[in-house]
Amino acid sequence: MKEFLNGKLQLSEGYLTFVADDAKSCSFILPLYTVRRVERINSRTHNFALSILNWHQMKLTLQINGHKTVCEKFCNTIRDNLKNQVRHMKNLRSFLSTCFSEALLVDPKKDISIGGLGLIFGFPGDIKKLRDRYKTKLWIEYLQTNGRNLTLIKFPYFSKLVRVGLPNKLRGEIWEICSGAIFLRFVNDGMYEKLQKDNAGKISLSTEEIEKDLNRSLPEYAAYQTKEGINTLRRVLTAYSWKDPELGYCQAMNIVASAILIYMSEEQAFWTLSVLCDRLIPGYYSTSMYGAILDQIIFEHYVQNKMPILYEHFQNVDVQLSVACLPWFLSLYINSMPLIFAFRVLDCFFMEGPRVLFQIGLAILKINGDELLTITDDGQFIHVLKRYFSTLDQPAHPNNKNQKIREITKFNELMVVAFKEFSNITTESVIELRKTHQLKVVHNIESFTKRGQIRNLKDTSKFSKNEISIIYDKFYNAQFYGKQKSIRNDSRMDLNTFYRFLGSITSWAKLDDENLTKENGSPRDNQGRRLVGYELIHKLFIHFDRSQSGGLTLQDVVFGLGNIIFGDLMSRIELFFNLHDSDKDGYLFKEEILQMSESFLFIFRNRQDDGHLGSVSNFIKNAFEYTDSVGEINENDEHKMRMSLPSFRMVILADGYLEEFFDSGFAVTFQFIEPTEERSKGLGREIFNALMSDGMRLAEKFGKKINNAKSKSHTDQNNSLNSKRHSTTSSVQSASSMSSNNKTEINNSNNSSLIPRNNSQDSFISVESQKSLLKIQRNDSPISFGSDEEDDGLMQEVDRLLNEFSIDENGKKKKKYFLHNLCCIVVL
Amino acid sequence: MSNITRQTSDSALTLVGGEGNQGSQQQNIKPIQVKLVLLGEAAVGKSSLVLRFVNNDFQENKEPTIGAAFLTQKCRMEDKVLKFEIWDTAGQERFHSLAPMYYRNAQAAVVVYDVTKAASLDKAKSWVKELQRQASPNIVIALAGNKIDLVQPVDEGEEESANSGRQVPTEEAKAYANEFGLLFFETSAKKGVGVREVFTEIAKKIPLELMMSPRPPRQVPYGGQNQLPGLPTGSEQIAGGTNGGCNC
Repeated sequence: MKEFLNGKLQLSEGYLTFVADDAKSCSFILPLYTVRRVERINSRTHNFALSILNWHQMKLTLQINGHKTVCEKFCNTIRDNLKNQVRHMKNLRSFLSTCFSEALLVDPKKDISIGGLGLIFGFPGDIKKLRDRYKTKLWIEYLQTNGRNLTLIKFPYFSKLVRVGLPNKLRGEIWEICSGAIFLRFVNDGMYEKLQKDNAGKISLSTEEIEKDLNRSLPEYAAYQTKEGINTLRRVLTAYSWKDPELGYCQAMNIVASAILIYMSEEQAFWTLSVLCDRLIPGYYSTSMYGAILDQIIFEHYVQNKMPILYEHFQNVDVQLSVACLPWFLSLYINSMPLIFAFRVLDCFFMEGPRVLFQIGLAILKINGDELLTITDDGQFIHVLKRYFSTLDQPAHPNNKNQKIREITKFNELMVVAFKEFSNITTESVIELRKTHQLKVVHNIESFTKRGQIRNLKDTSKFSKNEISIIYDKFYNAQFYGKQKSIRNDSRMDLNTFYRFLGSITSWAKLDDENLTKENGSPRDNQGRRLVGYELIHKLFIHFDRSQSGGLTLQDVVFGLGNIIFGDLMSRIELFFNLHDSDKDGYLFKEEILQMSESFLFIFRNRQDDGHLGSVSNFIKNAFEYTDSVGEINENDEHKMRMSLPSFRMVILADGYLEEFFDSGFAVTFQFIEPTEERSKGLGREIFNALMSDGMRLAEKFGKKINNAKSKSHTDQNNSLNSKRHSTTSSVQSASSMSSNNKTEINNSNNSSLIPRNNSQDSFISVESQKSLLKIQRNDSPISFGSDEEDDGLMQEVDRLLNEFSIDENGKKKKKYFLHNLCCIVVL
Repeated sequence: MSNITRQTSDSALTLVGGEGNQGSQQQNIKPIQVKLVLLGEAAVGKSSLVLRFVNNDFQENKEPTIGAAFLTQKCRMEDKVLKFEIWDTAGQERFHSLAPMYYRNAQAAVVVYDVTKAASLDKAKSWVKELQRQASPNIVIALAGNKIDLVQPVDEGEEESANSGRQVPTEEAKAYANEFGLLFFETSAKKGVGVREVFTEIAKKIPLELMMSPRPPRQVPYGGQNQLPGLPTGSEQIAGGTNGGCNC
């Protein structure tokens, strides 16, 4: 008997992934470094078949439907990639010793100390009530049969086991597998320790902020009343703030970190945080928190669609959903519900991704709908929800005659409503909505920030509101385009950026960037000559930088520009004099006068008429004449010739061309025109920051196409991310070579629910069993768990699951739920 | 003039116990809801001020402020019962863009700074500016310089010593408050100094009569459908700020 699972196979540099066509019945991510052997085998029905033996002695058979050359190419690619990954294999053994599942399968009875703070300080909830032992047994069977940690294969039964709640000691590891953090942890072996070591004793804004919150992160949990627990939390949060300094630390991360640390080791929690911030809830904790706001909008959108009456009521009484719902999302419900329930939600969240946050939120509103329709203000809204959360452990239907129904708690009800009634909140729709609203959110945050900053300017010179607004845009646009690396900046503009900024508002300052080496702000052309234009702008920069901090604030720029534009003939002459009086002694010397003339030539270089040439040469001539007359000391020494400001004025005013320049010509070169193109792209300051800080992650998440060049700009000490990025391209290659169009990233496939469904091409890969190798007792009666219908009452399933198991507990014959799935997997 | 040490005697605010145990006398009176928001830089003591006011307590904050914490406190003033609905916002800078969600429709705001940190007054000033332009036009704003226990021994009341650590002179902040029509206080949440006065003076300054109607008159919400939470749209309201100045 043979059963086939049809689906899509993808190969990247480091991973082989598979998703069944229905996206449910099977999926796996197989790191190539866990592959022991690959053999090409004969197949009667297909062109091409491979047999793969992995670390845990599981044998997978892949039959690939495709043209011969395609299969050959696949074969070559997998061979090459395997070779490249072999180096990781030596780390496997030590890594697996940090996985609870390994020890568990060796001896389930042994007290294993791999995991989080819960091992020492206890896990929330009553172990008996949670049926922890039953659940552990079920998991042992699943892990024995279907792989574990790095090699786990997910069948529908897997998600059922997750949904009934994970057993305490295994929880951290399953979270890690579901989120994909385990792969990051493997590839970045030692990075967590290194971050600690490299930054030991360092202080930053983030570390200060973290300190403030350490004592108020799950303070009710015993570990966080001890030094040990607090230190653990501190290490994880600070290490993360060093890993991603742009993000640093955001309140709410302390809640999430302190919660997952109960079940996870520090390193596990660290990488899980990383996956959270990068992929699952991007932008939630960024400096603008655009992700959190974005998801609130999406949530409102869902509420409006799914519960229009309630939505309208909220509108009528003018209550904003976010006042209550924002903290749900930001702290992943951990702060809102009793811990044991919050962890059940987290179980599902890590398995299925962000859609769970929406499903749960919608279900909460739906269940409390009647009561919520009576509220009239924020206070009542908060109150209703608070009361609901505090009664989650109570029966949902206390007066029902049926005892089974009476036993259903409000939390059970919440889960059923969330996953049954809102099953059509899919990952795809969440991602789609994020994409749709993203620019708007970013734009709004940007304009909010912008108004705030403009409001806080102490001096707007005489600029109009609109002009200030344009200066603001140019100021931040210049900074964005200038940045090659996402270095945390305090939004001060450096010299290189100033070149670009000035070039964007005045034509004479547009510089030809080619053939330049811009080292340390003193650009030279390729022959090493200094460049007049840059020097002039550099002088302006120093002049603008009133606080001599080496960077210009928006205020500096506004003030500086204001002085030029709203000054008068005399003030501008003085400005030029001062700019060129580099030693600030009140006199221009020969060299300085020459520089002045060069500056003129530079500014006038694009003028059509030739008038300026004559004027500048007149200027030089006159200047030296006047210096001569001023010269009091050492008349014969050319180098001591000098010109004072009054003489300079006279020289300028003697020439009509130059007089006109200082009177109005210079000021009008500054033009404040709305940068229409840039605006229309929505590239405001915040999206710059967002893109910089979140780099490729955002793009991946929202499926935005960002070319490779940009991805390079995303600095990352994180090898794995880089390698994954490469793998993306290679997966595209191999996928295209297999005639399946594909832009799926391996990153996404870390979470089965995040894998986009591709029904585009019929590249058909079957995974088939080798019947002869089946050595496991088989239960012939079909088991309904395998059915695709999600509609079976979840609770009934829970009951049956646990009842079935109690039979087993009594020593009766075991039932195997797994076997019907084994059509493609054989365990040796 | 100053509210710092003034005894509020004749029209003092008396706290009314929790909702469960309110006396029958008060039950007849419909409380007037006052929405109040606390703003200010991180760690200036916003949560502590609220805790002192609501529970007359000072301790480690048990409830981390994510977005904002919501507390209520009923008070009696003369013959009226007020119910303060207090939004205690997160101070971390990145939560700034969420703040409008909490101060919209607020009748009162307490902008807190730390007298030992000059920069926190700058932040407070920018909050005041934002409130005066974007919040309800008649919002009553109180400026509170917290942590005076760190700069002057409260019981002795002597001249501050030179090395007291105070970075914001009382006169400077007071002058600023007068200029912008704010109530002004210096407080110590830790020692319980001046906290009750903040709320008392706010209660006095709010036009309660106007709010005796079941619901306070609502402004047109700036948030329409699909509106960003916490983000105002369109042009800023240029409100004249609260006129008059300090009411004493």
